[in-house]
Amino acid sequence: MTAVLSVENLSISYRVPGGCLQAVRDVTLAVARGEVLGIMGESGCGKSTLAAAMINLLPPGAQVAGGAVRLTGTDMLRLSPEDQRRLRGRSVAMVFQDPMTAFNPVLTIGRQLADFAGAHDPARAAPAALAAMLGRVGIPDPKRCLGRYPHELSGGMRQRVAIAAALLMQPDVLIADEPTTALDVTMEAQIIHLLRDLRSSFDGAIVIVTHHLGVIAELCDRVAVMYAGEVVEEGPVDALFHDPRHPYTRALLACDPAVVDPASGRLPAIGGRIPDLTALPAGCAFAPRCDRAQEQCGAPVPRHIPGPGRSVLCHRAGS
Amino acid sequence: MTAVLHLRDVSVDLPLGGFLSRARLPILLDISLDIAAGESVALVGESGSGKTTLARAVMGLQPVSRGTMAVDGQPLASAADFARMRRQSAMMFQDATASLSPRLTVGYLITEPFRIHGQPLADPETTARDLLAMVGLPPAIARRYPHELSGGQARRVGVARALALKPRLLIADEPTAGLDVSVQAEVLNLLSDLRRDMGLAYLIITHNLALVRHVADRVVVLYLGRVVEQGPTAHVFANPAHPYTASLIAAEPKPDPRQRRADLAIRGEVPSVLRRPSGCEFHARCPIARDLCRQVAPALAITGPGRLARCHFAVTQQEQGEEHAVEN
Amino acid sequence: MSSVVDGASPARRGIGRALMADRMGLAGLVLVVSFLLMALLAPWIAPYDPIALDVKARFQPPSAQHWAGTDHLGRDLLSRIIWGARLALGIAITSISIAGAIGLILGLIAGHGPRWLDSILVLIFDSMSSLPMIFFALAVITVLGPGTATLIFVIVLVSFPAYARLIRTQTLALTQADYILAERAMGAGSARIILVHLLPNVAGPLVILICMDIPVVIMLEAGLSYLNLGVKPPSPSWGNILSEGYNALRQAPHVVIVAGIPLVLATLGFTFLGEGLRDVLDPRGAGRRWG
Repeated sequence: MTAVLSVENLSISYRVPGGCLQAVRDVTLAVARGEVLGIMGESGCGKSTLAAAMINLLPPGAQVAGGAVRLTGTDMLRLSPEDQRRLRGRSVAMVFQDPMTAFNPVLTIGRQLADFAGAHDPARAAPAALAAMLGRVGIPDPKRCLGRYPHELSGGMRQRVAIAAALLMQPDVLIADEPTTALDVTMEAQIIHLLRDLRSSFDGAIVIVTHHLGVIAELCDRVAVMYAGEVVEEGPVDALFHDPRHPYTRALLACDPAVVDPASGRLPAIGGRIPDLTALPAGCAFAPRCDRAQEQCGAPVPRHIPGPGRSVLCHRAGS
Repeated sequence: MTAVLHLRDVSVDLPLGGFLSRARLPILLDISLDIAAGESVALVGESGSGKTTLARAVMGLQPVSRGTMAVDGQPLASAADFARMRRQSAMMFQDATASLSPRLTVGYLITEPFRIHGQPLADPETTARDLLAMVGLPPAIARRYPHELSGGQARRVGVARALALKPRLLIADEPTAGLDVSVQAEVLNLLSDLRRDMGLAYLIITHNLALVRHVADRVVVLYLGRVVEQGPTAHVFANPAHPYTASLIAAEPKPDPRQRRADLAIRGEVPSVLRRPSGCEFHARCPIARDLCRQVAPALAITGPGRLARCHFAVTQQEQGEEHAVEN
Repeated sequence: MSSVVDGASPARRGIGRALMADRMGLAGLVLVVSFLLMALLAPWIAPYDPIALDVKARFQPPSAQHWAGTDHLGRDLLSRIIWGARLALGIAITSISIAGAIGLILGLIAGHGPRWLDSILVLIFDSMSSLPMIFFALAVITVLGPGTATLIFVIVLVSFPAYARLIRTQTLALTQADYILAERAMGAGSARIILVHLLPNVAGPLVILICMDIPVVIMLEAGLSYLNLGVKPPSPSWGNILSEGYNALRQAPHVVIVAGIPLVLATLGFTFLGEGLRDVLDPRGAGRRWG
């Protein structure tokens, strides 16, 4: 299985008044065609910066300190701006948390979809083709939907249209950043269902970025857990949920109210705060919050490979 | 014992707009609910179910069209009633940061209830420090501005301010929205500690069912402004009587890849309040709907001890669930 | 859409741009403060009496004796400009402050008060701003006679509706804000909500608008004085100096140039300051603090 998108030793930082904020640190990941990769982590872990780097849309102020983002072999970070623009959208498409921000409020859905599709291939912008795509993402009465404005649709419908818009570009990789966070539980279930259905018909890779463990478990084949800019654990979804090796992964799984027995009364929490990303320690970034931390955790952390397709960034993973 | 919060047939409707139009749009219909001291009740439903409107009606931020409300046995009707009630109850808003006045420091904001109600505030600094300590925040936070707080900190500040005057009732609108899993747990633990220590009554509004299981003794499920099911949380979750409740529970993603759902529990969206369906308002999305459901609206009926459901087949549903539970 | 860096967001704008904006604001502040000092210290820093005639020395170009030259009556132009700053800023600041205060109060009442009162006030604002400003000003001046007090009265009348409308719009938007609802839920009364929570949040845009309006008023005063409808000669208004300069534009072009420079500088100064304030007054902007 060859990777369609791979991130190699990527480091990204932001210049901030107090120094240099290291948002992404030495991240290596790959996703193959037909695969769904989940990137999981809490606020400030760098997952959104990583997603932005994957689509080559880093905000101003972000600096790539090293590494590469390869799309079917080409390093996107080293392309001319003109080539980057051509590649973006056609090869990598993104779906955002709030689909309202992705649409122009004064144009109809049909007009905007035609723009997305027509930018690369005018034939795909035909109303019949657009309606067919809307039908595919589960929009009832797609022809009527083409004439509507974004604000006339519900949040769930807008997210479906956003997914349709992304698919119209026939991308190699579809990145969804918190695609269900703004939705009700019923609509969330429907979007999860839709994304899962798409896997069979969509010949590309899907990357889901979220803090919601349930969404990851329902949808992904493989998971990368991020903490303080690093991928601290990576592995197949079943192994990661049932045999987590990193103390942070374990703690995250244990905190989720959905898995804790309500009779127990109290929910486990992870004490402490995420470290200051402008002044990171030399050793393990999670050590100050880790209940298994020892002296050795102050030294640079080696990456352990506990099994096929798995990796853990922890001193004690071997023991 | 009188209930801390007592609602009887509370309805809210909004003017439809339009020049000289008298038409009104029903948002909430005949909500009855009692919350005892130390009890925690969750209000559950999709967006558009009217749960936030109910919270605002209780706080007097939304005029009630019909029905009676009382706090600690004292009726809520006039402006003076609400003024008195606001000293005994507090509300936490969904967006914790946005509910803090942006140009004031945290120290001022959390002591504001004292100033509003003319309560003695001899030493604002000590009071602020004590309140912050109660919710586990360092005293230095008092000098910060709302935009300088993290989501979890803003939420805690909201709790501290809500509890400043030791209320009897706390209304919390999505108390964990936008929080990370690890912080969520801290806020929920804080809320349950405070309930135990201060005997608070909670009305928690949420669409997060995992939260409901942990913090609510009883759950009330709303659909299009009506109560469709009500009962003790453990019983309702184990054995829902209304198909809508069952669908909500089934829709919740489980954080276990071995429990992936093969099929969708619920399709479609909440209909618009402008076009309420005939008969049972849930029939278009209901997996067990029959002709009867399309024609006759079911009434809220008792289905068990402390349990109510608005479904023609509630008792059958519940019995099936019980049999199922026995088989397992 | 979530922030790209998950909440640990660095300054939203580029540091370079923020600095540029700050530099402009700083330049504006320096200009405004210089004009204010000039106005305040006029009796001490002006080298000559601004209305002392010296007909023999009329239309002298700038020289060591008269840094800015003299006008058609031989009066020292530099002294007239310094005294003119006192007049121009005095009128502008007085009238705009009065207009701002009226606008603030009426706007808050309209935005937060009962609906019927809002309708009445909006009707007043709208009819006031629908009057053609220049003709209205001319009519008032004709009735009351030209002079400083009339000028201030006219400026207040024509400018307060815009302020009131701004404040009303801001107030209406904020009344729906979560924190105002939260205050109401805590039992805060209207007085507290208006004074403690609405006022500080609507005042920022008003201060900015006022700053940007002061040059307009200075121009208006100059314009009316130019038409001999403002400040009565021989008072050293910038408009009067310009008006007198135009009569001898070919003979002595320096008069118009010298009187034009402070007008341009004051306009730039207040505009820059207004734009700088807009950035500084928002507490959420780039993590800066205020108050």
